[in-house]
Amino acid sequence: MKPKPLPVELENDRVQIESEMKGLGLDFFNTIYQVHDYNSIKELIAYLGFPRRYPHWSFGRDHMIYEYGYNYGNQKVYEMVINNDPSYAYLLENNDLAIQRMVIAHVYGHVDFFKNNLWFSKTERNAVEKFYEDALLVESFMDEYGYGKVVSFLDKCLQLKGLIDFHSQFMEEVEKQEQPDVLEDVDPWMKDFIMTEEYKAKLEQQEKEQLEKESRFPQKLEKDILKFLFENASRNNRKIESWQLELLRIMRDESYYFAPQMMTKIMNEGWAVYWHSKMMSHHGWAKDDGIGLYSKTHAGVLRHGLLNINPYQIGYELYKHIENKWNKGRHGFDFDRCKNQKRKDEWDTHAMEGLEKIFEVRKRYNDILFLNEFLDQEFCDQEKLYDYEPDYQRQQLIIKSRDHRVIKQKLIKQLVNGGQPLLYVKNGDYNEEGELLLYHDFDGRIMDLRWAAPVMHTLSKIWGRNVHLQTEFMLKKDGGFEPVVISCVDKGKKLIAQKFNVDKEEGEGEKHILAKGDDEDEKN
Amino acid sequence: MGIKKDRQEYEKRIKKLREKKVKEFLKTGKVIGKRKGKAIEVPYPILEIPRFKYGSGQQGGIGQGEGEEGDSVGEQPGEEEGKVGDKPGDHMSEVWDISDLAKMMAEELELPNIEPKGNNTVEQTDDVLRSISKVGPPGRLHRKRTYKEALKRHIAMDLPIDEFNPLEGLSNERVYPAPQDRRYRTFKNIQVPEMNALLIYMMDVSGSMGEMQKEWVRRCAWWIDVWLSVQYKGLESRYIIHDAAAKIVSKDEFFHTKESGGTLISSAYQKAYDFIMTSKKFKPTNWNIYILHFSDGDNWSGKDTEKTFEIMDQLFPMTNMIGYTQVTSDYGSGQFLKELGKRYDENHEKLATAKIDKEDEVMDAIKSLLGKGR
Repeated sequence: MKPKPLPVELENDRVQIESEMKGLGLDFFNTIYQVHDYNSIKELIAYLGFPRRYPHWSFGRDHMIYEYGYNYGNQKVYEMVINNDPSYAYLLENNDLAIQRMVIAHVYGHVDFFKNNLWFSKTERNAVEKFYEDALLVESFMDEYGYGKVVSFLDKCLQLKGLIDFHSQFMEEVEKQEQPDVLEDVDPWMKDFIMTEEYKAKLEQQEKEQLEKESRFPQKLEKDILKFLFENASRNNRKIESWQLELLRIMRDESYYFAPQMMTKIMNEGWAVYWHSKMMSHHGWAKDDGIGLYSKTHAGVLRHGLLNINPYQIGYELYKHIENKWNKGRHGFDFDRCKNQKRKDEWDTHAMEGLEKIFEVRKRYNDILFLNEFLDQEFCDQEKLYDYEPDYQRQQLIIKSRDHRVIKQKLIKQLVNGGQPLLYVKNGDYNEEGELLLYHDFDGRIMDLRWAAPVMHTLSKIWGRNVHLQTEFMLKKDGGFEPVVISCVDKGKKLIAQKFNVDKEEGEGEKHILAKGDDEDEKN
Repeated sequence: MGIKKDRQEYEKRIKKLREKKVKEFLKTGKVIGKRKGKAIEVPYPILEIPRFKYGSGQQGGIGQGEGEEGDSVGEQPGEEEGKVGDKPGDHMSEVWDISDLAKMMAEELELPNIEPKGNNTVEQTDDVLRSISKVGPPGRLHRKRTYKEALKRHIAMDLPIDEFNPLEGLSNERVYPAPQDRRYRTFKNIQVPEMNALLIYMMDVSGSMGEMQKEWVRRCAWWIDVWLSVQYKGLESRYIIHDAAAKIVSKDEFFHTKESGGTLISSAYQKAYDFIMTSKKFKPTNWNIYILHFSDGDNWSGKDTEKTFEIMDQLFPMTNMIGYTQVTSDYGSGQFLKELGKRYDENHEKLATAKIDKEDEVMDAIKSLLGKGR
């Protein structure tokens, strides 16, 4: 990889774009732009923008997929930027100048977002170096323990990627204050009135619960499964080696680093599009000779998705929608209360608070909050959003509704936990034999058990004992969902399900064979 | 280390996966991909790392565009195919050479190569200019060879040869080809055996043949096609369907026609016989002819079975092989296979029979049909 600096002409433009954007209120890390040829861009894309990653075939796969897409002309990455201080951005050599200017503005939008959005505030800002060090560490493990052995364990770790509790970083444990003894300074005759039977029972109950909680392991549902394994696996599984724990640690760090990008995909892309659009058209950076190409590219970025929303487009339009509403004062108590449609349509207080508002939004929100607060019926109509569902008889996907409440609910459901099932460690001493019980917070969507089988097998390899999963499932046809516990037997080749008794916390009754996993087995 | 290594590692895994897949396909006889002449287009396998995830397509989603409630916005995707850990890439495909597949097929089914009909070697001109001649039209002058000849002559005759000297440039002593040095490209005459084959597929489309049976036939036909197209240079296929009467149809009709009538098996063989006898192109002396018949064997009358054997006796000398495959339908399996067994010796050199009761016997059937090496 031989990065080149921006050519002089473009560098001059960049300097000006940078100062103009700063003038408009953006605040970004220093950003280093590099120009790369197609081959090194391909490599950077496979490594998600980092110059070096630990050796793994999945990067080779992404490299191949990108190359295929590029060769067949249906994929062209215009920008690649990483969350780092200083930030690095990569431009593809030989792209048209107008496109390069667009990318530069777009990238500054992203870097401003990285720097200012709350959810990025705890991310590693020296990721380039950190990933580099981790890569070297993995390579040294490979030298020591053999390439095959390390990759095989990396395969396992990658299956667990994302099993973290992102919000834990923003929570502080509030120590429960010791309750003062209310009876201490009280006249004895009052005691009976305070210590009623009811209150006594309540206290006892609380005490009991506290004791029970303390006897549990973990004490409460633990969402950060990777952390749980990292801290406890070696106590349970003597075979696990320190380098393997280190790989788990790397995977967990990586998950935390990338999580905010998943949580703010719509907002982050929308923000970048908003600013490149502003710079290119309102501030004239498309220039006369590039306006045609820019318009075409911009339109491509904003195309509608038939079966999925396009985060670039929805994010961009929603910022504009908010800006417009706050410019005209079309929000708040009076506006919402107004029943006169004509008056409502013409509502404009000339408040001009739009720009201020969207800066505030980009600072505090993530995608879920963003959609939850600002996606209204007006926006859904304007963007022609619809909710569709499968029609099993017609074998078609059918438009079901254009109601913003339905659309909002579904979009948010898709976004919760990055679209992954909510999983927790519930019991690290299940069956009183040190087995692991996971808990799936069921919301009506069933997990794909064929995919769960190998992951559960992996977990049991790391944990050293059997692993079980509590979820809900329809054991009898049309019998409705009921709590079940799914266990992985036969080296992950088979899954069995049993009705789950929630009170006793154990499986009971008939064992159903659910899915046969892959017969792929590891050699190491 | 680096992307090159990662890429190699990935391709290594894909190769393994591909071999495994072919073996699986060979077990069930499922069709692997789209045939395009000597190539097969198959979906490119993408290795995915298993994760906890939701089952696909449970709740629909959100899209954008025009349309009223109840309008369709697309087809409901089918159940996710494939095993855990790999999925076909979206719109990604790769092209396999058919001979690679045939090689794996041969290994898996232990198929012998076919000895093409012996006597019919014909002199053919190769269609590529791969020989050299001293005479020829100027357009086919082989400059390199001509120059080489001239050089040889110069050296042999000790004539001065120019050596390139960057300081002095070229001198005038160049190598000039004389007329006798000239060499021309030309065609080569070669003796090649006539390597063409005609495949006549015949299928019983009477009421008792169901969709499942047709799928088996489709699979048999696909794999036999793969095998024979590697064995022969040119491969042509004709399709005959029959119930009580037979007709020649297109490939598409062949697999999609359903009749309700009864069955007279002789009609199909008669049709095949007539077709070969009247065809100007497919002379049995020049073509390796294969007749492959699929039926549930429920012939209407014993008399017709007799008649069929008479026609078959006439067909044997003209063909490399007649393959009869009896597929068990919902109405059971007929008598025809048994009658064939009574009439002809098990080791009859031109008759191959097979029986398919259930899906995983498709490949066994193909093995018995092609196993004779005819």
